Amino acid sequence: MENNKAIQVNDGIYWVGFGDPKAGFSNNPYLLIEGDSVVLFDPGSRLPEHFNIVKQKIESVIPIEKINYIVVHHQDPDLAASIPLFEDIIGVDNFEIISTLRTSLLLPYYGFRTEITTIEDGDILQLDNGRELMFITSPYLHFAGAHVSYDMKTKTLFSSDIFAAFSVDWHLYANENYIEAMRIFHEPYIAHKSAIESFANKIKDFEIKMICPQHGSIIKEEFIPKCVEALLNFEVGSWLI
Amino acid sequence: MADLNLDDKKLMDFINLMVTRGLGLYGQELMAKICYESGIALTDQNEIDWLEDNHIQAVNKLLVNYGSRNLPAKMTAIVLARQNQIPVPEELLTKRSSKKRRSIFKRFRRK
Ligand SMILES: [Fe+2]
Ligand SMILES: [Fe+2]
Repeated sequence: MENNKAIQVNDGIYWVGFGDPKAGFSNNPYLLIEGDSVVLFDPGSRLPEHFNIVKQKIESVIPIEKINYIVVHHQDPDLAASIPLFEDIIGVDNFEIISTLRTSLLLPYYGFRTEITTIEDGDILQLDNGRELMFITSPYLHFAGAHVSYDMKTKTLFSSDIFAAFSVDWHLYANENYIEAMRIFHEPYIAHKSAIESFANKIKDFEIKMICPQHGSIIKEEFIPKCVEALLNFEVGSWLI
Repeated sequence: MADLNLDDKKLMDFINLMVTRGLGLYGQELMAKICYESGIALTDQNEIDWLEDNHIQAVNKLLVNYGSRNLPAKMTAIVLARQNQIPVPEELLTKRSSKKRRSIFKRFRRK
């Protein structure tokens, strides 16, 4: 896999991340391009060795300055710390940072000055050519103000840490070992089953053809039911012993 | 808010709840000021009384005055209103303050 080119994974959707065997979890920002609408999801780390890969991969398809939206699914540094570096290139207030109210309390501590556009559960961002991006809150998975995004055109769920995995032997697309890789990520990380059940209930009426998590591998349609079932059956809260 | 079944008792209970939380966040003096600006009297003993005839409007104002000062207050006002089936004022749900922002949103209504 070339380390400087974005990989198209769906109609207008590019993976611009990197596997990270040293850390044991990949970091997966995604880019969505529809006409003049350019959305970057969970931009990633600010470590130069990480940021430069993501930057280069984005630039392999589009200039960074064209990004209009950076969607931040929660406030963790592995996905949000690079916002100021993107702001340096795009310019303050020349793009929108999209997140929930709860997350917007913490994000400015990374040191950017662009105003945050806050979303509520069920808000649908209108992109070019009628493409629509829905935001669904996912409370306590794993942060109180966490949310996910759903591309209504390709029926892709950008799930952030949900459906994420730890993996040294990493593949862009999930294989038969993925459930166990998901398990070691989720069981100690999610405090309570009710958060998973509430989220599963919220998304049950949506047709989902692809899941793009922020760590681990992309889950293709045929493997989604197994991953959802596994998620619902994980013995979460395992550090409470 | 007008066509909702919000009787005075429910509104009073809700204000008391907002004030109880608000005393922790704002302290007595500022909480009393926020109430007064909303058409509600808050005594030194933390008892409340109406200063305005339109009680629904007073609660609406209280939510806005209480929730507009900072993010923790906004989140508190929104969550307390939702838990108690009190409509959240639009002012608290604006997506950003700057007119420069261009994003356009629709709402998805769950069944
Ligand atoms: Fe996280
Ligand atoms: Fe993460």
